[in-house]
Amino acid sequence: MLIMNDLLSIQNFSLAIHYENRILPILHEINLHIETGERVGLVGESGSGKSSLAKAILRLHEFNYSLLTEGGIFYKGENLLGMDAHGINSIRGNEISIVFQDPLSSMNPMFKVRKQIAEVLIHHKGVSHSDADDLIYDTFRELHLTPPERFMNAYPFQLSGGQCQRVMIAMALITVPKLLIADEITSSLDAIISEEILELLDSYSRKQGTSVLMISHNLHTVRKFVDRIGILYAGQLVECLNCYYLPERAWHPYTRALFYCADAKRDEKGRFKSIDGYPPKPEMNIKGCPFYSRCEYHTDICREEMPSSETETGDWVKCHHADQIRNEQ
Amino acid sequence: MLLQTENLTKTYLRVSPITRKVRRVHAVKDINFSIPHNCIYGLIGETGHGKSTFGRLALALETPTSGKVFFDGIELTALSKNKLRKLRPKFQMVFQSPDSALNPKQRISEIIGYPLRFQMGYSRRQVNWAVREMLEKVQLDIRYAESYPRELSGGQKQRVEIARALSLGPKFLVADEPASSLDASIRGRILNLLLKLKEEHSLTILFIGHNLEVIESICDTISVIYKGSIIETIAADKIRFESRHPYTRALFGHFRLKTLNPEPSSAAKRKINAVEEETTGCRFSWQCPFVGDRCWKDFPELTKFNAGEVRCHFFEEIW
Ligand SMILES: Nc1ncnc2c1ncn2[C@@H]1O[C@H](COP(=O)(O)OP(=O)(O)OP(=O)(O)O)[C@@H](O)[C@H]1O
Ligand SMILES: Nc1ncnc2c1ncn2[C@@H]1O[C@H](COP(=O)(O)OP(=O)(O)OP(=O)(O)O)[C@@H](O)[C@H]1O
Ligand code: SF4
Ligand SMILES: [Mg+2]
Ligand SMILES: [Mg+2]
Repeated sequence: MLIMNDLLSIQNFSLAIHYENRILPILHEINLHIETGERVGLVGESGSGKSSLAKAILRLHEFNYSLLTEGGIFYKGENLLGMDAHGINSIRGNEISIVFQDPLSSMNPMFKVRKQIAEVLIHHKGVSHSDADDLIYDTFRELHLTPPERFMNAYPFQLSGGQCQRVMIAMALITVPKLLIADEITSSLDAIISEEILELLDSYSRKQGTSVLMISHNLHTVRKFVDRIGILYAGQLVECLNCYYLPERAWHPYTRALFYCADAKRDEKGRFKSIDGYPPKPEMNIKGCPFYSRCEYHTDICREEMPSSETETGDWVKCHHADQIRNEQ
Repeated sequence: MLLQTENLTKTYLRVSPITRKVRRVHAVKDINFSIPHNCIYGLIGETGHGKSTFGRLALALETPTSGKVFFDGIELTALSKNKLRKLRPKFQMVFQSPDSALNPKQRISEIIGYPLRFQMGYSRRQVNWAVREMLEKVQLDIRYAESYPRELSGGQKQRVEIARALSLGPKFLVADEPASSLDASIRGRILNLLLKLKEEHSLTILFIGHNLEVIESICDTISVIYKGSIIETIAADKIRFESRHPYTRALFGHFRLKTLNPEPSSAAKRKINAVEEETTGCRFSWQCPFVGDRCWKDFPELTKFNAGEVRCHFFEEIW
């Protein structure tokens, strides 16, 4: 099913890594649609596959592994997975930009910041060197990298964590992409600057009609910024819902547990909250619900059968006992 | 006091390629700091204002431009390389960017194991044990021991970095945003691990971070840094409502700061540059809603008040 309105449509997408004679499944039948101008959040446990999904959209995985993919990722109706190198290169950094989780490692340590950003601009937009400099100057100032000259002439290793992060944001936004994939873009920023960057991104995406896929562990930030949120657990999208209803009307036990831990308060014993247990190992090929071993609602059916959802558009949840949880509320 | 610094200063020089003008970046300026034994000390502040640099200086990972660092009474800044290396296992740093801290050519078991083997003289069996135990403590499956860093997610690498630093059993740990890439549940467990080490092994931690809720709940005392100097030090449970420095109060959302005007006049621009470079006045003055004439001229001293220490001329009026 292809909805024409969708800018990006991820359909039944599975990803596995062929690794030392073993096959390690990483993502399992993901369905996610992003409309033009829509902001979608992606949250989930560390290691659940969020960055892998982000990288898979632009086919940015390292070359030393062979990847097995199934399903499709359609951008404006075209399958990105089947595109030739030339096609994907004209989309990367131009129509779809990505800000990586670890900004330092995604910049070339040998070149100054100005040169790296100018190259992107000259390559994709064909602007002149001096125009590129002006554009970079203005963007840096908007992102509070002042005085801009200082940061333009710096090497990546001379920047602090948060400065690096903002340089990456500048590099991603400067080409005016249709879709921005933002992987943990505010994790190294203080509360004030992070709020301002998000406001800037907010007005930018409204003005330019840019869609955003935002990955973050900061549930408050995501919730404020996005329209819809997907919850990833052990490589599966287990719930998708409108942010407005969070956290009261999230029905998946994992989502509920995650939000329960979110406030970083200590209990009577002085301990922080967390979810007991581990996620299943990817190579185990479990039959049932991936959250089974840690779930307080689980019954036998959860172990035997993978929960599914009738629709995977709008709000949906994959849990055998979602109705029961809903009724308890 | 476990760690003390005396007028610690670090200035980076940058030469502009065109004008050959030298620009000074005062990353850390005259910090006098003391961290008592067995506590978790928080360090917060605007991004790029010198937190990580201070952390590196405190552990003698970088040479200061001037000033001294004392660890348990020993002056680190005066030690020879050899002596320093012997002391290293006692103080460790969890780096902010695990990607650049972890050697991409080593397996996780080697990253954690080599220091144990070569610095602590563990046997092969002991190393295997320790690696296994550490991975479990940071919520990583044992199968990751044979992986390379690039095969791990951002948060998994961050946990390896924590495991590496803790495996040597340090007495003092600088944790530079140790939980920034972790989800709420795993973050909870890592923080519990740090609390437990503090209680059972009297570990002292300098906790650098941006997540104010986390800092508030885990730390005993918090210092706020702004443009390289400490502007306020206050008990963690008081910081939200009883802090006095305008920057701290803005950080906790009591009011909004004057931010950079998108089209600053040339006068304003000059002012900003002046602040970036050298200024005799308060370095916060260009952003401060309470700014008065004194602020532009005199650098405020760190002054005691009922809940802590603050560096502001008008702290008595800010409430
Ligand atoms: N090249 C690889 N070889 C083997 N396993 C890999 C590789 N790349 C990723 N993985 C595994 O895939 C899983 C998902 O990783 P991913 O980086 O997508 O997680 P994430 O959700 O972004 O987590 P985080 O929040 O910690 O960044 C992890 O368990 C990781 O170990
Ligand atoms: N090697 C270097 N050369 C020149 N300048 C540097 C170098 N390292 C850091 N700086 C500058 O020193 C200042 C302080 O950096 P530092 O990394 O300590 O900030 P931070 O408080 O840790 O910020 P963040 O919260 O973003 O990590 C920054 O303005 C940075 O650009
Ligand atoms: S399907 Fe069962 S185990 Fe899975 S989340 Fe729902 S109740 Fe829990
Ligand atoms: Mg990630
Ligand atoms: Mg830092």
